[in-house]
Amino acid sequence: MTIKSLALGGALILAACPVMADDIINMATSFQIRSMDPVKQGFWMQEFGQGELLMKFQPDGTITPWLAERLERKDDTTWVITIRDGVTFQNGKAMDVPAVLAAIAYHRERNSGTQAVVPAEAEFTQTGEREITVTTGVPVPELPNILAHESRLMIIDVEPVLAAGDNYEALEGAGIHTGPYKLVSLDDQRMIAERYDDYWRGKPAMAGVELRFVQDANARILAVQNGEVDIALYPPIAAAPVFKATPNLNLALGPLSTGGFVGFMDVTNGTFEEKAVRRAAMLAMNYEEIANAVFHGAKAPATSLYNPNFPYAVENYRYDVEEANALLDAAGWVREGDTRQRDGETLSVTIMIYPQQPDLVPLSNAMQSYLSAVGIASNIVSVDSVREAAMNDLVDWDLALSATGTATVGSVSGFLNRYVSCEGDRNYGGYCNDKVQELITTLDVTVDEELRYELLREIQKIVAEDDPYIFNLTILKERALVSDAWSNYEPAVAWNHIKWDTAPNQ
Amino acid sequence: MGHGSEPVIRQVKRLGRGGFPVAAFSRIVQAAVTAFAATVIVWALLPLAPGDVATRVLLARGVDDPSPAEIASTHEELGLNNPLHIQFLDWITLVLQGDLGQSFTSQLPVTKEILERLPATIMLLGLALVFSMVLSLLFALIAAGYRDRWPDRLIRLYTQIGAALPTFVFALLALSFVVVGFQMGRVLSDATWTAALIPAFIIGLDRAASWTQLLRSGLLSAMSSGYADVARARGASERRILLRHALPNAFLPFLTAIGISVGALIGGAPLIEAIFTWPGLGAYLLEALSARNYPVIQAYVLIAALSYVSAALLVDLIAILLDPRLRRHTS
Repeated sequence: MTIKSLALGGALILAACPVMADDIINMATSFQIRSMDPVKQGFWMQEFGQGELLMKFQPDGTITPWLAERLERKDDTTWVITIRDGVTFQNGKAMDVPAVLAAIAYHRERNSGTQAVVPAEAEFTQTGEREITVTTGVPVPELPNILAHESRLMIIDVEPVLAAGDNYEALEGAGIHTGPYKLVSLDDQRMIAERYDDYWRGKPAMAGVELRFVQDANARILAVQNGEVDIALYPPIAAAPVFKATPNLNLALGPLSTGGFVGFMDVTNGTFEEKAVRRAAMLAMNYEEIANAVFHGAKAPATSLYNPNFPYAVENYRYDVEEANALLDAAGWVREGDTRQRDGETLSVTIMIYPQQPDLVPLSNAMQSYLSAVGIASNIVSVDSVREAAMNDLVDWDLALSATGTATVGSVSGFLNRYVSCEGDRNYGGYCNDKVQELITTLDVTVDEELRYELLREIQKIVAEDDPYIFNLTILKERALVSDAWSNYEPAVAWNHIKWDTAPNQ
Repeated sequence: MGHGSEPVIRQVKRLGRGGFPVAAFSRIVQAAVTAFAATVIVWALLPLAPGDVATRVLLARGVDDPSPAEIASTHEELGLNNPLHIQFLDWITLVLQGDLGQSFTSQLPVTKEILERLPATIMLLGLALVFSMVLSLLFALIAAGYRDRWPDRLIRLYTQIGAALPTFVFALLALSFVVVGFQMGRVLSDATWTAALIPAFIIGLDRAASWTQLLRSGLLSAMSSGYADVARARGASERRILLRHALPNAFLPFLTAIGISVGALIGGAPLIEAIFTWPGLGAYLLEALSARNYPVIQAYVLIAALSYVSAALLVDLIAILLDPRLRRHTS
């Protein structure tokens, strides 16, 4: 046998072998990680397998230990955190109590998001080898959620961070996190991370991660189709039928998220000053159809202000055209042809959307048709920023749509205080209901779980039934576009896209 | 023949004497006025944008919920309390020093970010320019040489399709059918010459369509001129007439079109760069547009406008240098 024939045989054998799956996770996302600044960009590290938190948010709305082994509430203002044993930072240093306290102090000093939720008088003190006692001064019922929020208290090795100063590039490869994959390189195109062999849960499933920053959704889709990436985040739902018909493209759907598309009604001005019209508009929405037809089943029908899996969520949304019509009739709005009139005025609303969320276009179109079915005429206006337009009266609007979480990592307080409370900085519609205000204020200092649930149920009832203002149109399902080899990938809640056991199909 | 019975050659020589500096100066003044008008329009993007600039800056700096005090101090810091003409003067002074402001999102100097991405864009557009010039020259010569025969008809069909379809349609088709369909190249590209080939070819092919039309008609017109008939009568072959007589005469309008198209090339780059994930200035601009990152948008538009003005000026200067008749109007 000549060398030539041996080489040919070898080549044929190689050609006949199936292409081996890459031993790294190739992922594409639309957002760019700009630096390793732990304050402004550090939250990304939880999403792609580098950073970890003391607590973890679960799809059923509960919070479970992560880097903490236990979190106990002793009384309304005292909590005890027991940190997990045997955890090390990726640079080999032990994650002990002083290291955790240093990380907490670092964020409390520099991160305005942390400062907004952790009272200034709160103290974190070492009270045992693995024990931290937290005295909050005032009740902080959502402390578990704060510890589970990627933008609040990420556990990092502070020493190299302080040594690096503003030179965040120096942190690449410095192993400041505890997660399964260590970031070794970051530029404006990609992030590269390597497996951390001494990871506390065991050997991570893959050799590393290559995360590409690809803003164009079409390029992300084609990259999966072409086998260049395994998982693409933020696929456009409108293209769901195309995914179904294209080889090597699979839309992976995960559990329900903590939010969706929320509608805010302007209650101080125009059509929605009338409660009956607000209630009728909510009853006119076909929530099932929005989720299953408009969004091809990639979203779930909204049944209340919250994810239906959460223990405090009620089911008080209905699609009832008859009742909507009856409410409008009773309010003196007389149907004349396609619209309703009263004192020579046509019943009409303006729906406000923004271009950064392309899914708002099919949603607002569907809403127009539902409103029209009960005689409410509508038009759509698109603005740069709903927040700016609403808060500065840049355009006339009646119903603003926004992609907003009503219970981000299970925390309800932030949303209610900012969007629903009388003085909330994002109370777009000028809503102020005394009872709701009282309930929110009570909720803010109520630690007992069952009592909190009762308060939340009452709030949901008022804002949907008695004095409607804000409502979910649909609940988001976590989703990603994956190749055939990764068709079992399950998108996770709280943006935790890569976990230590994330791997292709067996 | 102009100027009575004066021979053309003498007219040209007369016009050429001392005409070039005056004509060139006039073109430079015109270009400077255009450039200044462009800077005013570009600067106006920020103060005329809806909403409060200081609030936008604070949000981009990560201040989630800026207080009135923070907004007021940012107004002071950015000089937003000054009259508009003072704001413009401050801005233009910084621009002349090479300071294009700070990105709202990254908070890094825009000049630095642009300089990091500029080589990739120059590589892509440079290659695209070469492709488009070579293709249009080749296609126009073939079409003119085979007038009304099948190569000419085929090329005319291509130029019509090319002129009718926007570049991004070519790009999407190339991505779907060439890259994904035939597994040639990659969807997610790096700034390498190999990766630049397909996007540059797409831009070149699109641009070449209109340039081919222009050069072809110039060549055909030259081929039917009196001097071509004289050359034919002297026994010159059609190929010689095409290459030695028609091409030099038709080249000047072609060159002008190329110069003017440089602005369009830069203006059209963002979509193509985004489609091919090319890490250049265009993708940077699209990202800035979606984030309403005005300093970056201002910088890009300024660069595109100034490139257009400079290229047009350069072409004008070359044209009046090559063709003394063009100096007459200005002198």
